[in-house]
Amino acid sequence: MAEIVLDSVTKQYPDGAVAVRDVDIEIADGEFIILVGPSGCGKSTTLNMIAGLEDITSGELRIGGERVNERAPKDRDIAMVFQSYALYPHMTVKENMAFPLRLAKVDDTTVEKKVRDAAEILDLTQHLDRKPSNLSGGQRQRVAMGRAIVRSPKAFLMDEPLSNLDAKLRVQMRTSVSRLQKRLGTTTVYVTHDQTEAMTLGDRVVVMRGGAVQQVGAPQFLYDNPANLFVAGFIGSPAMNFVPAALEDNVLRSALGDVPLTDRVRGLLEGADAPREVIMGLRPEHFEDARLVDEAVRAKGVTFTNQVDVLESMGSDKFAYFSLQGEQATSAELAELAADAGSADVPGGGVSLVARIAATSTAVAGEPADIWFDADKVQLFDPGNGRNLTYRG
Amino acid sequence: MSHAVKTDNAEPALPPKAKAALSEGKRAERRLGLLLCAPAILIMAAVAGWPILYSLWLSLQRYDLKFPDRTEFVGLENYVTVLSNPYWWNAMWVTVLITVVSVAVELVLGMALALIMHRTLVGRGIVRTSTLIPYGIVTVVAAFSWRYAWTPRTGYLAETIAGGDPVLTEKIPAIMVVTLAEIWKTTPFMALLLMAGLALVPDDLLKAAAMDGASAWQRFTKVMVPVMKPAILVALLFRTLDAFRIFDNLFVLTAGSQGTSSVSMLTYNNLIKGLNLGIGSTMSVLIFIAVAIIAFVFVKLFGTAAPGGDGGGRR
Repeated sequence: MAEIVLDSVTKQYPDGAVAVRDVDIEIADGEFIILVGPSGCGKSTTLNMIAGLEDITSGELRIGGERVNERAPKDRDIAMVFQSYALYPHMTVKENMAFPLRLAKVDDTTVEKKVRDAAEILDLTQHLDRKPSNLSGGQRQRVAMGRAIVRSPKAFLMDEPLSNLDAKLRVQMRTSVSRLQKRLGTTTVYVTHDQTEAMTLGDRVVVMRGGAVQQVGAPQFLYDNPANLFVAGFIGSPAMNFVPAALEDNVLRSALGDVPLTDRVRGLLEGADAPREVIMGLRPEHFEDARLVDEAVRAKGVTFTNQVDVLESMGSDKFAYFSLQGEQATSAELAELAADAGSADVPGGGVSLVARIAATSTAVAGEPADIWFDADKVQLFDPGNGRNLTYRG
Repeated sequence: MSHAVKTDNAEPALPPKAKAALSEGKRAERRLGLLLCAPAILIMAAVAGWPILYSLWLSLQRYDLKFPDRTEFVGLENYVTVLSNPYWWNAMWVTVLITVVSVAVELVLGMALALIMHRTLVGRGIVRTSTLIPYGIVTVVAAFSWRYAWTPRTGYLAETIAGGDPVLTEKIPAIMVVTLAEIWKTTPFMALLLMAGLALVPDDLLKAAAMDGASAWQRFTKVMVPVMKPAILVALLFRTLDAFRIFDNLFVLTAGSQGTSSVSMLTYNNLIKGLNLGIGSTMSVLIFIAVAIIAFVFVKLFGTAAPGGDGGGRR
């Protein structure tokens, strides 16, 4: 067990392409940290540099206080779980899990005991003599975890370990990974492109984009206080809604109507040097069916009327989808997020919105509905550089 | 109830009819399959099946074209003659020696070349092409260049390495030169087959082994070789069968003199040069049996060695 420090770590390939730029992360001993971002953001490269599978171009990597830049992977005492599991097909489950111990020349009785223990933790005891090809996806995944934990390394590195599982199993395994990490208390760096995994698993989340760290923080903090448009759009499902707006004295003019600036928002904006044209961000849960909101509360927000395109009932609540007339919010960050989500090619003029409203709402798809939102919850972004103007750091 | 009555009525007629329809379709399909295969089968029977049967028949007769009127059926007498003949056994040992040594050396060199070709990032095309050059040269032409190189006074290898000795005129040195020529010629083929096997080893597996604490050599022996074992066995089988039939290199380099004949060489000398169809055919049948045994051993080996259900861990 050890802390891991990345001190302005940079990866540049011989052809000049920079995969990771000046990454500074301090990972505490026993911490579960998630690297998240769209494909090509440099999260896997960062993980591989910690592992020693890729060289570090500049900067320093310290594990347990020691510089390890020049050490081979085998000398760093860290274990890794791969997306493909990378199980040795010619070895049984037992041999797979024992492999790191055998290489470390551990004596037979200890190997036997450690493998038994790991198999018990991961519920693999009855599969020890089977070959990986005879196991299900979930079992293979557990064997890969087992191979990592038998050695009691200083840290675990996990490269999208759950991506190859089907949705239901992924949720199950997510909780067992979390439980396992808490039980062992080993420093863990976990790479994923799935923001749900990032939100649910980590003590802290590192959001990356284009090789640079966007924001580091606890999941809830990132959700409530995204540093920029990219983090705002990436964290949360369904994603935050973005509507272009114009800032005037005490009011925000937008396609949703005029939004009064509350004291909180005004206070945060004061030192922010905000431009006139901004992007207004609203989380889906900050909307509500206007009919279900008290008069008193209603006055603190804005009510608008629009046709509901699609209404999805989730049981506990409903998702209402709207399209507004007017320009879509544009920025480099939003374009990248759309490209990553694959929605860049989906045609649709105007602004689309998602609102999470109470299950008791009587809104009907295809008909207009009165929707209210909390004016105090708006976040404002600078379309030029994506900065959150209402960021409370 | 009416339902039961209905089935009762239909019972005698329906099942046989359904069965007949089914098997008729299947039979038509099978007939079509046979028809489509027929031309290939006929050609194979004519060019491979018939000569095999004919030589089997010839091997059971005393049949020497120098004494055609003394031809008669002698049963297994030819086999006794050949198998109790020291020339045959000498040729057999020479062949086995060349086969074992050349295939073993080729495996090691071929693996090294395959790794180089697999790993090269810069000038991949040039590396691969230059590696394959020996394989692209006609064997007889290559054998002649080896012969000239080892000829005293004119050959550079004979003058430099052998110090002017005529190495091709002595049994053991000649066999070594033949083996060397064979290795030089066919290592690229081995390397090609092994390179295909290397592609079967996923990168993640080697990375995982590195993380698990394996050195480069351990990654090679404990992960790479076991995973590509099926490809290695195929390469070995191909090369062993091929090496066992060695003829052209020997023909050019020593012509089988000084007891350097291989079994193919000896068969050729008896059958074509000596015109002894009976003995020659017997030898070719024996070679056929030897090759079949080699193939059988390898295939049996595959059966036991093929990783229990392929594809575990790799997708």
